[in-house]
Amino acid sequence: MNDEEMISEEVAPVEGNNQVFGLMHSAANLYSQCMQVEARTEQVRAWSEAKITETVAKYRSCQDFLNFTFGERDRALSKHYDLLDKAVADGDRELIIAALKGISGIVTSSPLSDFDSFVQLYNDTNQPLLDF
Amino acid sequence: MKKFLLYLAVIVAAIILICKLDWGIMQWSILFSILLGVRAVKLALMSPGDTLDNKILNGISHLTGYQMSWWEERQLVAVEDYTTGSVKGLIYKWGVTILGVLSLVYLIFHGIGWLFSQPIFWIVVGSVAGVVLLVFLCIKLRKRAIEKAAEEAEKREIEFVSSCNNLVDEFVNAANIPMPVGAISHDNVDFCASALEEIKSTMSELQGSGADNAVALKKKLADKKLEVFYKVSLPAQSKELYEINPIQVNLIFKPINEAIASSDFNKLRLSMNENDNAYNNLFRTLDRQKALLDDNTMAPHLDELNKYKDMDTTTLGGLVTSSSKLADKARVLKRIYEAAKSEYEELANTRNLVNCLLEKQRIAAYESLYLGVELVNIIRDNAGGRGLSKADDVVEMHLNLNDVNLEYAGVDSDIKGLAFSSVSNLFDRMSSDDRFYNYAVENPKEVLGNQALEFIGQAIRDRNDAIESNNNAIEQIVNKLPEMVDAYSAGQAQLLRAIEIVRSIAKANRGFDKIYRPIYEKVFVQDDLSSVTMADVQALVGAMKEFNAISKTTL
Repeated sequence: MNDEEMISEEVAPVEGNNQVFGLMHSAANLYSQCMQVEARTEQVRAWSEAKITETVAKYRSCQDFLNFTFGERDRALSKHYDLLDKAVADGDRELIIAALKGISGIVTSSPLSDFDSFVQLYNDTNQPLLDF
Repeated sequence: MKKFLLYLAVIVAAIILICKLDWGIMQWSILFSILLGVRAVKLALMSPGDTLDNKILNGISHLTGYQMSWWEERQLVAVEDYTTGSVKGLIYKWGVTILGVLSLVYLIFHGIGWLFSQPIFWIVVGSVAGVVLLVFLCIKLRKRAIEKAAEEAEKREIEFVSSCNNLVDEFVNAANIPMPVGAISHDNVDFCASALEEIKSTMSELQGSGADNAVALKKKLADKKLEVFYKVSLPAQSKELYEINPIQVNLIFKPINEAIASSDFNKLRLSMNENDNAYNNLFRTLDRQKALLDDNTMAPHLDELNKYKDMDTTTLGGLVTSSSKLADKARVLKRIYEAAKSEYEELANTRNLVNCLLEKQRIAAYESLYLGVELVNIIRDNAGGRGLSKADDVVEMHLNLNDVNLEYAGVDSDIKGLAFSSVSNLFDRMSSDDRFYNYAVENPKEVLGNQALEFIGQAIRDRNDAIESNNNAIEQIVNKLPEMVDAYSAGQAQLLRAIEIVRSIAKANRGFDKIYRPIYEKVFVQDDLSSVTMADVQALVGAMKEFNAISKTTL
């Protein structure tokens, strides 16, 4: 056996070991990366579910608030509108003025400031009133 | 053949002429330099033709907005001119250019002294310099004159605006006509100035008149003030509605302009109210818009979000995330978001319509209240009404439509086909890298084993990248969702409130008109001021007070 063959016989196992170590290192990196991805996916899932639940709940509360507030106002205003229509049909001036007074008493107050306050209270997580 | 003989004859004649002329190099140099100059002027004045290169350049310019400079265009023209055309044309162009350049060089080195000794040269140069200087001076003077004129115009405009504001103050304070600032402009200043003079003279005439004349003078004064109100004040208050819906404003002013043209002021006083058809249409429209808002069309999309939350994205018994399932989930979320976004856009359309109706009713109220004040002033000899104004707020959308758009990078990411590139890389490397090829042939198991591992590794990395892209997309969408839903709720609240105000003003206007009309008949039609009772005035004032409060209501 000449020198070159002897050298290649000794070098080959060392090169083989280096390759194995390299592969193990890559596999470990891949595993770590997969674990990180799974953790992140779970984090995004949990966070998005909480956010969606919160958004839907807030929307429903706002809708209930609007339905209740404007519903009540609509009912009251409708009564005054009917009274006004009747007064206009009959030509009754006192009744017209009374109906106008009733309408202005409701319409001149804005429910939007109440709505803004409601939204502010809802967003305030320190607010004990909304802690069910 | 004929052409060839013709050209030959021309060349021979030219040679004979040249020999006969007995010119020296100087003269020929000057001739060819002049020809070169003519060629240069012709090139400077030519436009690039319709060649293929030019079409391509125009296309590029059109797409990118790049505009060639004058010098670049000249280069294009020069190249084009020298490359297109017939052989004889080319011989002429190249011949003139080469001889012209050589002549110019000769002239520069040998002819400069001779040229400078010629008086005609200095006359020509002096004239050209004089003309250039004159043109330059004229341009500068003209520029200075324009700047000065612009300054003067600006100064005069400021003075004009100031005098218009003074006129507005006089109308409000002296004539008791409500008028917003900026109502008087170049279009109506002459009318306003003469109207104010007429009003002032009628008012002073009224002060010095007896009881017989007083009623007629009061009517004359009321009519003139009414004309100013309809020609100046009311159009100024209608500017915002004009921006939203000019057709609507033109419809409102059509009967008004007709009445003004015919000087029928009684007709003008009755132009304020809509007929029954228009009134009923208004309430039908309002009912329809309110029903759309009450329908709560955003709710089904938000309900779908609950189902979205339950979508499973795992595989292998829940151990590992499936990138394709996650991609599906992200796609579902994107679809729900887009549907919710279209509801928000629909709300913006409703807002435009309701704002238009709100403005229109406020203008009608402004008009009615002025007429009420006018009537009270005539009956009671008052001078009120200067403080009449119109509410101006409209429904705003809290989020711009641009703010609810998202970039969906990564929602459709999946690993299909991505990992196979690593296999094709192996074969590419073997075909291009001889040393690697030899190594692969001698160690096939190792190479294939490594490649297989690399393939799996790449597939896993691609899968991880796809999952991460989808996670980012989901994060982006879920971040934006609450803002949009909140803005939708706020917009809905504003619209419900606006509809409430529109209904109230329209109803109140009808009620007010019922009280106003009989008194108007007594004063303006029957011309019988004495038949107006205290009860009439009290009813009118009472109705106006409530109507004013309703019409000035803001959102």
